[in-house]
Amino acid sequence: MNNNVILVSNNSPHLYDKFQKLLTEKNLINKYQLKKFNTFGLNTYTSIIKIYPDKIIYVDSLENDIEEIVNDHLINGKIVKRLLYKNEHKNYLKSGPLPIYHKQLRLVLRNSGLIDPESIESYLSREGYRALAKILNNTTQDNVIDEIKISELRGRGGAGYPTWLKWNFTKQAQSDIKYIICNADEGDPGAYMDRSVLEGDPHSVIEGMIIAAFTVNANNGFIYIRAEYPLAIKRLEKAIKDAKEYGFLGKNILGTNFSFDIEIRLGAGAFVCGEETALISSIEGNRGMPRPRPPFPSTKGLWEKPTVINNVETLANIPLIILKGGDWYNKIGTEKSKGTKVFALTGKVKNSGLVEVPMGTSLREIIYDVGGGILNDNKFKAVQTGGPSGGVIPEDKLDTPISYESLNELGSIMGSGGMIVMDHTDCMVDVSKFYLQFSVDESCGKCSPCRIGGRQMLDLLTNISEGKSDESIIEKIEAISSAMQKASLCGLGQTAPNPVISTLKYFKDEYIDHIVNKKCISGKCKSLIVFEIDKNNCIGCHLCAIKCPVNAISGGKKEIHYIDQNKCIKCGLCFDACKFNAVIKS
Amino acid sequence: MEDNNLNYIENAIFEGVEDIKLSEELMEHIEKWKDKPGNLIMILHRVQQIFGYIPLNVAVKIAKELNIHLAKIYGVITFYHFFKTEKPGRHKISICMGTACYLKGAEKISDELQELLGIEIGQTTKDGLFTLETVRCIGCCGLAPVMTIDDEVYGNLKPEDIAGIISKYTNIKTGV
Amino acid sequence: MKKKFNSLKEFYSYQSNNTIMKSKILVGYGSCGIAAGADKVYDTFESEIIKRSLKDIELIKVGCLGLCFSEPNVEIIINGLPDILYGKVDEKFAVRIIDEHIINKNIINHNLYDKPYIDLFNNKES
Repeated sequence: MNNNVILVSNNSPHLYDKFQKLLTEKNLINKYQLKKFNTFGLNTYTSIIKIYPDKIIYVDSLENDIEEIVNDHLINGKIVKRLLYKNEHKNYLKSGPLPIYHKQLRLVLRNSGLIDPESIESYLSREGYRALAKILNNTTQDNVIDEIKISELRGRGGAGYPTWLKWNFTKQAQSDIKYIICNADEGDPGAYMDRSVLEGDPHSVIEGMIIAAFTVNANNGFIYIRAEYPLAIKRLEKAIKDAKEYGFLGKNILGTNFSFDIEIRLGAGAFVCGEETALISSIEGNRGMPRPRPPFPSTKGLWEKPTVINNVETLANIPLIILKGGDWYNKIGTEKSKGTKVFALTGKVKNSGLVEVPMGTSLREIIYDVGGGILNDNKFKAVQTGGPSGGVIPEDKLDTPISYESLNELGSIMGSGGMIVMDHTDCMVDVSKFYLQFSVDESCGKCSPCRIGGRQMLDLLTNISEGKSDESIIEKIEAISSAMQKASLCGLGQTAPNPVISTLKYFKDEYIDHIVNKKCISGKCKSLIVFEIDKNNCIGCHLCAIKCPVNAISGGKKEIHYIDQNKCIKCGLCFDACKFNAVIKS
Repeated sequence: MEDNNLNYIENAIFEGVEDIKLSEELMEHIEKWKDKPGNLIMILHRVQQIFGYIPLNVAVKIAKELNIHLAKIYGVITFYHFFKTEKPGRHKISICMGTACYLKGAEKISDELQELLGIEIGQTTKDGLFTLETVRCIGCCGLAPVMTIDDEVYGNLKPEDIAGIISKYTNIKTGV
Repeated sequence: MKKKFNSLKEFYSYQSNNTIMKSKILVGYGSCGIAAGADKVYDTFESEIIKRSLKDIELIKVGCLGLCFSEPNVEIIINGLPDILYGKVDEKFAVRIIDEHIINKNIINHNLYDKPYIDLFNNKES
């Protein structure tokens, strides 16, 4: 077996060719497996070369350097020091494990993609339930709280409330019955972090819940999960069953006095149930309507009992903090936002996927280094975080390091982790309409600022997109936004105006263009666009007329065609169909 | 059931509804959850799993079994998008309207489907073969735009793909 | 399978048998992976392993690897070779992986992906 492997990143094909040429010349080509690989850090390094079994990484090599690598390293076994990857301390690693040259750090997703999620043995082989054993062995409840406090872990569901504080309130509350709830009602359209964690590593969340239960004296737990996630539910059910069989759940866990059990409760497609009081109402079997806080669930929650509600990602962090220590965790991240955050990076980005980065990583690094840049090399326009409760962030703010605080300052929120990249073909009015439509559909209708305000604002936005507005409309939108933010009962209504406010803040020109010039430069707002035939380009192939669903296009073969504007429904099929750029959108 | 007025109305409804004998399996499920607090949603989930929606006579039966108002059950059913009160078609087509899908042209997919099937979102074709609906996000954003037909996921869709996909299901019909 | 742990001592003295180093085929089997065809890829691996009576190879369904754009993803771990991640694997390519990579120990020069993170516990990386 030939285990000499050279991997060359595909952003430097000339280096690969050079290797091939040199290896052939020197008669080494059969001794090495020379292969190309796709990288992610395209913007970080011009090239990455990995050499095995030596485990050496060379970065930013140029064509002339290859000869040196072949002669010195491959033939004489001498490492080319000047080309070695160096980390921020300017050290390089000569041997041993490969250095971390990636932007990603997987804490929450530590096992995802590496273990069989349906096998508890698989989880056990990777420090599984060690954190639980550790606290049961020689830790008091206060120790656990202290450790979480030192770690400065904050809720990953969106608001970023310190986890230890939540736990401490419930711990101190006087009650025989207390509950732990795992909020897996991931409702943000375009986000699937929680689902991936539950599908990839369900035991880490269960272990986190058991630790929480031990800490606050709870004996019953619920996982509230969307019914739309059948695979995650199946794997959770299996994980709970296995954990019971192994003695991590149930009566007298690991032979101690501590008992705790978990049940799964299914959500039924209501976004508002991500709000903790609405979620509680749903578990109780009722309509998922929020109620005013205080009292907070930590003291008066499920069936009026003290209840800890944590999000999936928060809970998955817990075992790691217990294992590695709060100090260890605290070193990762920014001053006020510690640890990592998982994002579902989607939209107009090349490498869409699930990414986990330390807090403090910039948006640009996530989109360009991890995400590989914009799809089809289009022009970046904005990135949206926080879903229907968040906002858009424009190009000039891309270097902002990510933290709860910095995103709030920009008018967005961390949210649960949706990150949607938009390019120049996306219309900001249309996008804010999309999010607001979502919030309006999902409003539970209990309080009027949200129920009526949202609807009114949506009507105003629709008017803008249809060209039926004047400049006074912006003032009206701002007034309604402000009322919704201040007077709505729960987070859904309070944050629903955010997508509108932030697009107005950064892309006011685009709104004005719609309102005053009746133009949508992205070509998304149907009422404002006109499809016409460019007489110079039309060759009369008739393809557009065949595609047109309403027969609005006339013209014989080899004649210049014509679009009847009264019939046109602006579906854009003719535009997509024409191969001669003869259909123009304006 | 203390409220006499409601009781009166409900009894009238109960009388007008054909009685249904629930399967043993469903009765067992109800029995298992009967005394647990917060059981209603879990029971409704199972009903929908079996029937594809929540039929009125089943809802009436549950009201009797759990000794709760029918209004309470309908309050819950109508609050949650997941629960349906009408019988769906044989195949459920769900178009993902999550943000990533929306940006990548889910609307065009939706238009094409409505055009092809001759129904609007939320409706069922006359032959009872397809029900068309939108869903929020099925979490396959990497494959956007996405739709599902029953449990099968179709990703990276273009409007011109739709007719071919649909025909796979209509062919099955003629074979039956 | 292990019986119930009745005490902490039992837990600490238990050695999971999952750590034995075998060659591994990890198939990304989250919802996205399945939607992109991971189920068919998995089935192909399974039948090819049986067909060729391959021993000491473990076929595992794992969760999401995070690279949604290149689903279905498959990672091959063989002693002596770097861990290799292949993206956009279909049934045909799965057969090639068995023939070339698993049996002949020859990495395929097609759709190789860089694993964009390190393993927190083993601190090794491909």
